[in-house]
Amino acid sequence: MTAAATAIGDGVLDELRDILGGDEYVLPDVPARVNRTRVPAPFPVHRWGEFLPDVAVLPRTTGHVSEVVKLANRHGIPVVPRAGGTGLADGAVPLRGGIVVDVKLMNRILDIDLVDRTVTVQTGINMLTLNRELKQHGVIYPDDPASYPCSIVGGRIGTSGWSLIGGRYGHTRDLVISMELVLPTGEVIEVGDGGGRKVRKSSTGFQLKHLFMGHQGTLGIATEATLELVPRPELEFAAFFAFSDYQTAWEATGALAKSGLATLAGVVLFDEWKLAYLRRDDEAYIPQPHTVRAVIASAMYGARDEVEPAAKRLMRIAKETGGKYLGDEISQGDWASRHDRYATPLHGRLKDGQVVPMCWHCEDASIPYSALPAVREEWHAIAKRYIDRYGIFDDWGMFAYTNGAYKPWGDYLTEIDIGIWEQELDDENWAAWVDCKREIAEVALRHGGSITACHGATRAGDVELVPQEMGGGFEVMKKIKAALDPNNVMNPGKYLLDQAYEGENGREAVR
Amino acid sequence: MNGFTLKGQRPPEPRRVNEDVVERFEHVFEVAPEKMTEHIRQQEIPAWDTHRIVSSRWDHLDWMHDHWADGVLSTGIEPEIAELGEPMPSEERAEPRPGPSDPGQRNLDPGSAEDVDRVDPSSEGRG
Repeated sequence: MTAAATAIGDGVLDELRDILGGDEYVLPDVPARVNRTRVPAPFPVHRWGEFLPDVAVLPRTTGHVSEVVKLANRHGIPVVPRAGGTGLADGAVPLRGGIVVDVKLMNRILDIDLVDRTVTVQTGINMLTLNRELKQHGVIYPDDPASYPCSIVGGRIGTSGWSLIGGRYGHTRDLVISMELVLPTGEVIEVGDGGGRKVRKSSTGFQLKHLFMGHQGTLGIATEATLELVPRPELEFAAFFAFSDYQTAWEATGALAKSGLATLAGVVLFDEWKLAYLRRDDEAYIPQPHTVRAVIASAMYGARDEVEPAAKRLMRIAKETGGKYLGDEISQGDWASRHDRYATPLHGRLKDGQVVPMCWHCEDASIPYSALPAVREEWHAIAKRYIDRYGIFDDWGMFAYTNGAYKPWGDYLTEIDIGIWEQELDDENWAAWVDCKREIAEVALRHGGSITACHGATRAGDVELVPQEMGGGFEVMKKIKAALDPNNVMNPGKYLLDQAYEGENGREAVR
Repeated sequence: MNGFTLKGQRPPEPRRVNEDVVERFEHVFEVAPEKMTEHIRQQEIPAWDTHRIVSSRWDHLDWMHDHWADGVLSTGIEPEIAELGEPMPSEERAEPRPGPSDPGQRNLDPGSAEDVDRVDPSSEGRG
């Protein structure tokens, strides 16, 4: 299999084995590399071989990672960090082969500090696993992505993740207090808000923590993180409401989000297309009459004395704004199902109704509340054009989810979910998907939004628009990249950052 | 606990819910068979396996609630939207939902759809 031949010689593999302490931590075999090629986002499966890494390594310490990165600099080999591999951008997908640094064995809890309310971990730990351990101490680490059962702290940092309960507890950037980081040169530093690892607010120097959030592996590898601990909630409250039209539901969403209830963790608005999709397969929605054309989901967490009166207020607001309660069983069951799409096989429908296996793609954006109705219309119109023309896509509907940390109003994580029949991908169909994706992103920018609220914007169809969205900030990005990664070894090819090595910078990409 | 019966292995004939969905047990839905003839074929699942999957599902949801909080607040308010279709005959229902993982859970006093203030501050959630 020519495409699977590794481009890294035996000498380098031996050096890696010496660094990592054994053959079992250096994986040049084809299955190990194939399994670390793609992520759940749409992927040009007909070109799989182009994205294979040359070798995967499994470090256990910060020192291992540092030495691997130094080796990469000596030999000019790309390094691609990989955590859970659950991302919906392509941060963990190697564009130029090289060494995949898979951090999953770096999964130890290093310190639980119940006095200063922090937990320090290696970044290969999964949040669900961490919270199982924390439960006995009466605290949680409240970072709750849809991928909660399978994603990993390091990936959450690399993508600057978004949490389903961020309206109450904040998102990853708010929950990571500080981190230990291997820079692209192999140097190890600690970054936070300033001072020690457990300081949450400082005004000393540049605020570097945010620079190393969401860089998609282009600026280094986080190896340890000190995380926020919050009291384990005494009560959870979930309430779902039906509406007969989108406009009324949109107004109700705004009223709930602006309620000022501190325990409110999130408000989600499902549109008519989403309900049509859910009516095919979801036991909570199949029995709903077709007069239900929009649904709002809401959830609260906190102490009993807070949640109980807040729940009464929330129910009253929903009723006064036209919502019909869907009952405790649906509300509680559907809320508990919020991570399921990462764990269930996905299928879609062709235009004739036949079921086919489909890959799920959610095109995410940050959209101001005022623009949600218009964006919804434009996005569905784009999806329909591509469905009609190519026949391998399926519109799975939209949702809009409160996006702010601690203050769930203003702008919304807005997604249109599109099924893609990957088995039918070829160059033409892949190009069509990228065009579709770009059109969707352009709508977001035109309405004052951002291309992405949580996935990242590294993929074709998004990345071309990053300079437009960032403006002068993109020039700063390039200067930072060139300064921190002089040999362009960290995830080269991502975010158009090869441009940092062109022209006056006088450097070329490594490969 | 029921022992093995041949009848228990054969799911009942489905009833049509809508153009996309059929139902063999109450609230256990399947894709309409005619939608799965070309690219993916449906599997035949014995009744016991359907019951196992449904029970496991409830186990999982209970676990997820318990994972995130000590208790779950219920309103006791009935759904304000009437579901489509007639109830399944009793002999065609799946096994009822098992009880909550913590026997201490109870619903709040049921309130009417018109009385949302009946979310009772004195009630207890799970756990």
